[in-house]
Amino acid sequence: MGRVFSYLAVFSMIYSFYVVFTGATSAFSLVLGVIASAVASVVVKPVLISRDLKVSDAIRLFYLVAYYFYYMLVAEVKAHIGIARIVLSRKIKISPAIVEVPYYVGTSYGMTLIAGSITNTPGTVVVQVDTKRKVFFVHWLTATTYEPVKAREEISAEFERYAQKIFG
Amino acid sequence: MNLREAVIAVSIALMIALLAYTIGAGGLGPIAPSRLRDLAVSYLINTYNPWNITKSALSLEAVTAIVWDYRGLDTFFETSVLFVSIVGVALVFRGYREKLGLGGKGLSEIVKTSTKVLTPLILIAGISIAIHGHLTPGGGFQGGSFIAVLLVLMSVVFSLDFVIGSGLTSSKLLMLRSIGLVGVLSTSVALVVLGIVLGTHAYIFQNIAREGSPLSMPTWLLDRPTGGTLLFFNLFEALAVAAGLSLAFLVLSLRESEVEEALGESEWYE
Repeated sequence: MGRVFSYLAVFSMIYSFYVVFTGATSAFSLVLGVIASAVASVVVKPVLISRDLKVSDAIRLFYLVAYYFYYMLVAEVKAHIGIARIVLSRKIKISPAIVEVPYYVGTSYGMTLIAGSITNTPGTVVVQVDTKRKVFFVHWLTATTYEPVKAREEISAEFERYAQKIFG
Repeated sequence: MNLREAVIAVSIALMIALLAYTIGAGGLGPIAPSRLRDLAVSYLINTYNPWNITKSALSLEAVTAIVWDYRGLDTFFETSVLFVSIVGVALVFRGYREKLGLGGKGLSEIVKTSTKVLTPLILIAGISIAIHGHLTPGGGFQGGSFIAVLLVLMSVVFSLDFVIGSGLTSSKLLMLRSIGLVGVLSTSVALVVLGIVLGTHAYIFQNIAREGSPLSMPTWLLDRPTGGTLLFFNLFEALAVAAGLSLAFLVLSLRESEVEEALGESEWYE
């Protein structure tokens, strides 16, 4: 049953992308898309998912949507205002530094989500990741601390809270 | 702005103005007439013409109709030329074999994970370009090339070792490529075989019924025309091109010195 759910999850991701990509409304496109997506999901499912999904995993989708709105409407806006203030001010006060930021999520998807979230907000960029020690090396425009744990509190703690719930 | 930048800006503006004037005055040859040429008119009228199907390809996309119907034989030989050149690449690299453990770790875990998510999307986008080839711009070759990007991306992001380790070996790719080509071939003679069975006339590369040969490929699937053979041609061509280009890239991206080292020179040139 778990395997069926895994295939279904991959299939619905591929198929919804197909529908958006083609803008399909005709039965021709929709039906051929189902066949093509089924073939594609059989091919790529072993690469994408390592453990079988459960029904209870569906709740993760809810967190994903919640995170999307939190990230786009709160985190991004805050970071943009911060950087815009620096760019527009007469006296530029920055303290650029590369700091270590630890992460604790267990999956590579969770790690990638955190890294992408850090990089996409202006002011912080992940330049390297050490998966053995589980730390990011983050270039931080307005570094206030060099302490890894404190830096994590300021940079990625909120992202990680969601990433933990979405990908585990 | 200093003088140098001003001079550059003015000269660029002057060049554009003069070019526009020259083209407008017909100095670079006659401007394309607003009236369509007869050939274009005939293609536009006949490419999708359900009222006179003996001259039509029943495809909404004129370019695909020309490529795979009106001049289908030409395209078949183009596909064969590509196949022969892939065989040529394989021949030049004879003795080539996939060897694991050549090193190369790929890019960071972040890039790997994001690429993993992209993989199925690139695949499905390529397929959709191929299956809509007779309805929208695109077609088998374009879709196939799209899919072939996958292997390039994977070998850069994950390393060549990963690609070979995942089972995408050159012999498998050559087999896929051959299946695609056989598919193209069978599609082109499908109506001839059917004609022999039914005891009527049919031409090689026939798509829709013509005068004196009443057989047609299936022209509609659900609510859209299929362009008869075009849908099949696009599908098989996509398979052939995706496998062929991937194979060429796989063979070409192998560094000879590393293989020599791993295999021993005598084996490499056996």
